[in-house]
Amino acid sequence: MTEEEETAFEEFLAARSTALLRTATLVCGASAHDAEDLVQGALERVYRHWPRIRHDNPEAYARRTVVNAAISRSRRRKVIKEITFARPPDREAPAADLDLRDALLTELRRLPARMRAVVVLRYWEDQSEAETAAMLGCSVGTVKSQAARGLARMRARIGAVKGITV
Amino acid sequence: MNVEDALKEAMAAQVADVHASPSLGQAVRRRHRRRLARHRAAGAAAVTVVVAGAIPAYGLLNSGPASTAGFGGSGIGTSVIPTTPPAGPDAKPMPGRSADGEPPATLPWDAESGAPEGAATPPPEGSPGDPTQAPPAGEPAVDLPQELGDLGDGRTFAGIHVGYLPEGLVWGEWSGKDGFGKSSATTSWMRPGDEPGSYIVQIIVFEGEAGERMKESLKAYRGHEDATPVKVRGARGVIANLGEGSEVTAEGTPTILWTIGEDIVVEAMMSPATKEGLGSEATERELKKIANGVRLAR
Repeated sequence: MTEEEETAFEEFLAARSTALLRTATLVCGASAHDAEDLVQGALERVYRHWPRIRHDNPEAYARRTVVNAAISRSRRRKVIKEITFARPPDREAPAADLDLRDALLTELRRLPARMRAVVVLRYWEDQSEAETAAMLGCSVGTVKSQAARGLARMRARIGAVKGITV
Repeated sequence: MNVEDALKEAMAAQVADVHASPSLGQAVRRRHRRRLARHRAAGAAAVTVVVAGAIPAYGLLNSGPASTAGFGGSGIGTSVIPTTPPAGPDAKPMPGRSADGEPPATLPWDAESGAPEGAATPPPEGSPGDPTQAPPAGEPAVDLPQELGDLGDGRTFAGIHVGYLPEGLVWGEWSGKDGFGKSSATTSWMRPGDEPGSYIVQIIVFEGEAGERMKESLKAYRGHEDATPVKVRGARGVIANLGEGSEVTAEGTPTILWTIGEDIVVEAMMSPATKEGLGSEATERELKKIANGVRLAR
């Protein structure tokens, strides 16, 4: 890479890496260390293709890479966990005194990986349905249904625990 | 406040303290250098295999990008499988060949580049076949279960022998027992250099209680409108894309289930990322070839 391309990559990192790390943290539902490792892997890929993609929306490419990596990692973790420990019991919702934020985040982590990615992209990243569909390589209809099901699960669980309407 | 707004607030609070490290750029470049070094070594090993000769060329099922031979690439159209077809309909497939004598499929992208240069969309980062997810050299690998011990090439386990796998796969060096019900066993295969624990092909063998349960599932899947009933060496089977809850869904993992012998149900799956690269039809063909190559080993 030329010096100018290296500089442009540094600027890209300075502007976007925290946002990518936050998205990865939310989508993979795991530790900050896992999210950081995942983002490093994704950014290495961005770096590898940087001369080609830098003028063609590298942010979207990086986000897509991070999100797909997070989904994949969540699934692998699930497979390994099932093999080693068999399926863990679906724990009851937290105690009624748990505040709304914790209940929402707990429920978010319980969603299947792809559904969680849809919810994060739509309601954290403010991506449109079409943008979310393009990023995940699925139809707009799938995004709509996954988002609706994700929110419905949260509503139902939280409503049952808190006796509130949100 | 509606649930969307509440959720957004919760997510914002959750990641408010998350900031990228100032040394992230250094870490990315270090990772990149390690990756280059790792693949230079892998490339050298593969070249040695080609130079050793005795490698008949085949028309490959999928013309992937130019790549390193021996890692599933098709750039020079070579394969290390033997040329002589099986002797008859009952002959066991030769190592590396399907039961119908077809050469093994080449995986849709190679371990070196991850995707053809210039392709519009590289394969999903972090997919099971994504080499960038491999742990850097010198870092500890994932602690994977080894419940069936050392299986060698992994092809003989739990009473079956796997005669056919797509070209270039190696045993994933792990195995699990009873994780999918009592008397079930599983292991998987990946490409050299893939992240430990990832898979291109995974097979689960169900017997006993687990076998009985899976016979019922097999019957149910065969009646599902989005599943494809098939015969595997005369036995009932089905191909379906199964989701995380074992439901049939277009976005699920491509899976073939069939019975072998009286009491065994076998499930073979290919990773969704592999299906993305191969396409649905080729993936189904591969699943059928894998299934047709499985024999009882008792």
